[in-house]
Amino acid sequence: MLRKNLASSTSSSDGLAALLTRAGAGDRDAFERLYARTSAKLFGVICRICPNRELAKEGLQESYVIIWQKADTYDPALGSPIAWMARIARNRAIDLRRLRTERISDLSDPIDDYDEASPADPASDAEQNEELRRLERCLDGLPTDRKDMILLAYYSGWSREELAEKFSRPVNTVKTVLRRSLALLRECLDGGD
Amino acid sequence: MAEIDEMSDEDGLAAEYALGTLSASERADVDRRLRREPRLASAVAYWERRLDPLLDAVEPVAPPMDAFAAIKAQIASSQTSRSGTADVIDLQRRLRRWQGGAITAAAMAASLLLFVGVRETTAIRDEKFVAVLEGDDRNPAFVAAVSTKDKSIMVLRVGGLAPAPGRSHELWAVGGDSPAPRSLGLLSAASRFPADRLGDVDPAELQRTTFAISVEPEGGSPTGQPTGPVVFTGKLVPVPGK
Repeated sequence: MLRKNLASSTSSSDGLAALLTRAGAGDRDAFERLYARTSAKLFGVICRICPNRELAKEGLQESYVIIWQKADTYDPALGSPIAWMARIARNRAIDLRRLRTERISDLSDPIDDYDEASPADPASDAEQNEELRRLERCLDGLPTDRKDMILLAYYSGWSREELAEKFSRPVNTVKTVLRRSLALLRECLDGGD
Repeated sequence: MAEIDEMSDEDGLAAEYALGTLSASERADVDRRLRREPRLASAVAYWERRLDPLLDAVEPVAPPMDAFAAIKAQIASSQTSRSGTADVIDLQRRLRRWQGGAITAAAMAASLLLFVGVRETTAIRDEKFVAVLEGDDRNPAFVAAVSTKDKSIMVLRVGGLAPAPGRSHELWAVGGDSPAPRSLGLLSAASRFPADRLGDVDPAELQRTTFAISVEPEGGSPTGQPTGPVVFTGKLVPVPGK
């Protein structure tokens, strides 16, 4: 029931777009309401990518500061408000994750153990919309390990290097496989079923 | 299986950027290019829109209760009037102007903070400052972060080019209590200096300090003062505590 409420509140794009516009004009109350309605979704996105909770919290905070700063640049042509905000959160989370693993691994604990339960299967979500079903059908057309690579990258922020290690392939092979898989995905999405 | 539709390098890069598999440096590079390459930007936008539906399947997670207070404080401290406020507002205005690039610069600055903050304990007070150094073209070239507790100065090259062969970029501190520029060291793509090169690292003084980068003969200024043109400058701005 809670999920349903969250889903319906974040899916009313009109309300979110108005809040985003007002936040862009400097309206802090609107920004606070925007946060109340979207932060659980964005934190969900970030937590998958930054399994360390402190890092995830940092990612959330930085994401909303960026959202506040960039709210006046939001363009509905580039997607729904929640999609636009989730992209900012995802990109910020991936940047933090890379930094943590690439630059400061010698100074800190490694990222917590990867959640071997991921890749999450989008099909487990009963609320999925038509676009997601379509994307999922196209993903199902890929060999299982390729689909897993795509989902691990998208949901969990894995780099080519991390994927190469898990799937025991050279990094360059992973790069080729990813790009071919994406090309096939595009063909499936653009070309109909 | 049939490997038909091969991608161009640029399209592959855009697709992998949206998917999230690029390294930190590749991502920073794409962030920079997005500002001036509309074709790459529209390719990234295409892939982002294509993959957006996957986010529908992400379960919401309740954020920490105190997260919004921290966000509000960060926003307030950058907009209300306090000492150094004009600098922060100026920095924000520049960040907005850089638009897509702002993410890179902000991300870099944040990453520096993460770096200097890693070994932080709560026992000792830590004051952090950042500076975004830009040249005449108003694009960010270097970002710097100072931590008084770590006694470190971190500088990353984010947009500028390396100096010409036979030349070095030298970092100077200008302002504060001493009238003459003080050399902090020669810059590489990523540099770290002990903060005591700034003197006694007094936060009040740091707030009145500007970082400047000059072009010097290889190995640095022979005189101890800048001899070549100053190509990038940026004021130190205090970072609100957590």
